[in-house]
Amino acid sequence: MQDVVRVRRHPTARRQDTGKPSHWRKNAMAYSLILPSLVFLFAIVFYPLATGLAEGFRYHSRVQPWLTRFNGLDNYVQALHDHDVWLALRTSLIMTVGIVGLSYLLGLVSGLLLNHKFRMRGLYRALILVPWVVPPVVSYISWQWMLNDQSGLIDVLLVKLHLVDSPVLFLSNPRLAMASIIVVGVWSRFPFMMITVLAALSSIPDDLNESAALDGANRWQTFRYITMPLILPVTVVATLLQAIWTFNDFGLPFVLTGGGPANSTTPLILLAYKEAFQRFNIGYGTSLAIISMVLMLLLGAIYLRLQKKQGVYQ
Amino acid sequence: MRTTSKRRPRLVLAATAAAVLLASACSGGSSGDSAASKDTGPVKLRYWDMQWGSDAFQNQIKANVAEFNKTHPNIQVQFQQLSWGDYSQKLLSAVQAGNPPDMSGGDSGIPFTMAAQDQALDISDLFKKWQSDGTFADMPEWAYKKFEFNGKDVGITWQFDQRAIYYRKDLFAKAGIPLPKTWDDLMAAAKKLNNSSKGMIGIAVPGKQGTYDTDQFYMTLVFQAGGSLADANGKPAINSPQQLTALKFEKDLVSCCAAKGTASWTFTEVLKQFEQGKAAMAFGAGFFANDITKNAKKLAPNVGVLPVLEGPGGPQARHSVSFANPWMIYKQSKHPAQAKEFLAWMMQKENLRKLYAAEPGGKWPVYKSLLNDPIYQSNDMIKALARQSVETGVDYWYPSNKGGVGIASLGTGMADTAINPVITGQRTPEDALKDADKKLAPLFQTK
Repeated sequence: MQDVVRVRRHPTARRQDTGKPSHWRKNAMAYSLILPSLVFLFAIVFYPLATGLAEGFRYHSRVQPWLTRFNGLDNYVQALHDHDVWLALRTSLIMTVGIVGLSYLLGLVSGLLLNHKFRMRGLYRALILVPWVVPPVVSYISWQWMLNDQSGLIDVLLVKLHLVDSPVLFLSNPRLAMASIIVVGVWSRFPFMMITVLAALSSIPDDLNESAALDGANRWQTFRYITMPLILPVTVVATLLQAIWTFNDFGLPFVLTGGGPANSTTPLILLAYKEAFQRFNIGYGTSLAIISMVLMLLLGAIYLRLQKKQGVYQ
Repeated sequence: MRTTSKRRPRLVLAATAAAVLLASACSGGSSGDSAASKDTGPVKLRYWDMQWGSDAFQNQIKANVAEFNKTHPNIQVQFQQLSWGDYSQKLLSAVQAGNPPDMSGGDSGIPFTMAAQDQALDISDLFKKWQSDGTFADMPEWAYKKFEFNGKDVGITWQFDQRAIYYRKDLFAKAGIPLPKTWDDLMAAAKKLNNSSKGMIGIAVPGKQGTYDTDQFYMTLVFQAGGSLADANGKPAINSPQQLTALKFEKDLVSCCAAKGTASWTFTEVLKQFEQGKAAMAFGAGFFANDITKNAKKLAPNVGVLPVLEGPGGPQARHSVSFANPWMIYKQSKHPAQAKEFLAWMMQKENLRKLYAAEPGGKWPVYKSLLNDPIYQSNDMIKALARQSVETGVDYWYPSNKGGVGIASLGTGMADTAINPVITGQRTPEDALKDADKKLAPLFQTK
């Protein structure tokens, strides 16, 4: 009888005896619920990432499949010696610093102005968001038309107002082309900075400003010693995020200048695209994208560290 | 205990859902011819092609396919239109996924790209038929010679895409300038007609980096200088004396007589400048003729097409760029015989004529006998363009296609590394060509 009873015991009986179900059993439902997400994450993130990393170590031209082979660090060595890569890195850096720096300044000024109470403030706040909500490609194409030296609105106006004798070559002169990219980039990004600054400003208690006023602080001193330190954490995070997005912005130079003239507006991400998808040089193009990714990971690590300092994850 | 027994079906359900989702995510689209694999029912073919023109043209392609389907009840062709932006990636991905169409169009180099992957079906039997039934006798040689590659026939031209220099007849007549016949004549005319104080440029050409428009004027000059992109052995001929001559000429021409903003111009800006009456000449595509006729009605009667110029390469090098756009069949097709039947039907003169007629002046004929068709007689521009495409038209694979795979992979490489940097004055022609050769030569490596 005793044997029969033993046979009929449920498999989990021993565990139940201890009173502690296994970790897996305890969380089985949770795991089963996240399983589809994990499967998709693997399929659309981890697998492509692993494939991409592997591609960076191969010579792989889609039109020369017979030459495909593992070539170790050759792609990275080639990139180190490639003048175009260094030029593209320089371009990426100028674009990023120019666009992020200026869009932050503009966002800060407009945020400070729109933080005051005045009539139709809501309307102004909404209008200023327009550049940010317009799909980027649409705004870049519109800017391309406006900056066209023959029939662009800006040159037509400049000439008609006799401000210039002949059309300004916004997109044909290497320096002006870079300046144009920065202006368009700032135009499309500063609303994000403004919103961020506005959100940070609204979290500053009014009594701090009132106390400063009672202590005799002028506007600049209030801004310098109260406002700026309090919005600084948000500022750093917002500019870092913006830097990552700008460094990886393919559409802006691709649509506006095509990377020219004379490669002067070809950032690293556009160079990677041209290598991989126009010259079918997948291996080398991927290695350039990986270099870009590593640089962005560094910025991302700084971002996460700052977030942690601010207690977001605590 | 009850809890456990309830959990199990849920777990099974969740796991099954995940498996179903994974399976549906991972399964590629089937070739769409499951019916074809059965013994009964029509064979299903997939035909992919670019958006080649207006709605009228696209509708005519669909109408041709529908007519084929109607007259060939044992074969049903499904037409899919691809966008220009990513067609090559789509085709390459489909090939690598083992799921390409049975037949496709594409840019003028797509059969070489596919042949490099061993994906282009050899259609030598069709070539033999076309040779024997007189079809080829009615075609310019380049229409079929271009696709005789490594002993196989990997595609066939169904239309040419002509490039030419348009000019203002009235301005030439007023200035007493005879029609240019040589490079020197062109330079002289451009200089004489260039008048920046009146907002008139001698010639409008594209020069923007990152576009396929820029290298087309340059390649016209390269051919006329007697050069090419690859030599007879398939080796790159980028850093050659002929290319240097062509690049120097373009630099001089742009410096003296083109718009200062040329380095940011595509065909869009060129056409606009010309239609606004601000350019005496313009290098452009065949579609300019229709656009000028439609959108610059007052100007149109005064616009002509320059004869193909004679350059340093002499009279035998009097060529114009005319892209030979192909159809091809894929090796992975499960129904090669039916795909060939469809291709042969589409290539019939009367069927191609319907396509050309849907957009008069938008597509240039592969059949010489169509030159006298009313489609190509509607105005002088169209008449001249059709004649030039048949008589002098060649494209980047001329004269030898042995470097075909490399040429098909150049992308905007010539514009980016040579032409645009030179016309902006950032590089000398010598340095730019050396650099272009260094960068682009690896693409010409063969098996």
